[in-house]
Amino acid sequence: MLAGGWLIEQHTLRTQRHLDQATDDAVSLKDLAVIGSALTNIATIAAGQLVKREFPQGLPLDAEGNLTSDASRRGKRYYRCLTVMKMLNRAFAAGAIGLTPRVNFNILRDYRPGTIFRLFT
Amino acid sequence: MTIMTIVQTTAASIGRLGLAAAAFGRPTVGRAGGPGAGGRSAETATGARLSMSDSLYELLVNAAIATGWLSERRTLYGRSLGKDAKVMVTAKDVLVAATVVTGAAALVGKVAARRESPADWLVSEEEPSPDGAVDAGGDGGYVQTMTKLNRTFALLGVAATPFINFALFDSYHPHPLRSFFSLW
Repeated sequence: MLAGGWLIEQHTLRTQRHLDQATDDAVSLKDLAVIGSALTNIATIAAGQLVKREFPQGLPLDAEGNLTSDASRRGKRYYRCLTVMKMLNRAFAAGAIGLTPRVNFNILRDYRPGTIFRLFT
Repeated sequence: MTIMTIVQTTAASIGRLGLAAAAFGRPTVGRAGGPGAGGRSAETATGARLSMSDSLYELLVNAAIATGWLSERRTLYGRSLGKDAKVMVTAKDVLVAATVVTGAAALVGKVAARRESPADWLVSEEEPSPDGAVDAGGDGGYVQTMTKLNRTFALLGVAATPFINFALFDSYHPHPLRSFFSLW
């Protein structure tokens, strides 16, 4: 959803107007965050499927959701991988959401409503 | 980029993140999930602590939404907005206010229900009944309704944002003179 929505939005931003440098940079930065979010999301899903295949009963977790101490080395590795991917995914998604106002405020800086400015472009 | 711009952008970012958190629920970063997770007795034992942190989290989310949006709308109104942008900002005003009010109402309901019957509350919070009519003197239904309303308003608030952005973008003219001369 995030990637699809942004793909449409950035296409509109880039094709309908000639962006100034600062706005273009902000859009590029958000591009990176959204790409990172999409990739880590795919990696999380793939890691989840691998865990399901390797551990049909699920990873041995305690009530807090942490891995129990008697877990195998393989289990620990999968758990670490899954946790890191989820954290990265959250970080990239938060980055993508958090970077949006930067794009918006750059646009706001050159916001010139009114008929006269419409004639200029 | 001035310090003021950084502060304004950061505040707006926090507000957006708060709105996303209210709309999509609390992230469970540290948990790997899966069918092997947790036993009921252990969950109940840590329930009280989790509930307290849940309340704090919800309080922070609501505060972030309110302050973030107030700061953002102040920045927006710093410019003379067109009619379409003003309409969208007002619509988001309503949605954000509704999100904060329903969030606060849900939080108050949860705290009240927890005080009345802590044991019942822990069970109902972990396993909400599908029809929404459970537990603790009817508070469960009220809390669930408020939580649903809160999520709905937050989702609508998130969805309203691009309308403001595109209303601004519609009058985005970064180089009016250059554009004017390029027409000739």
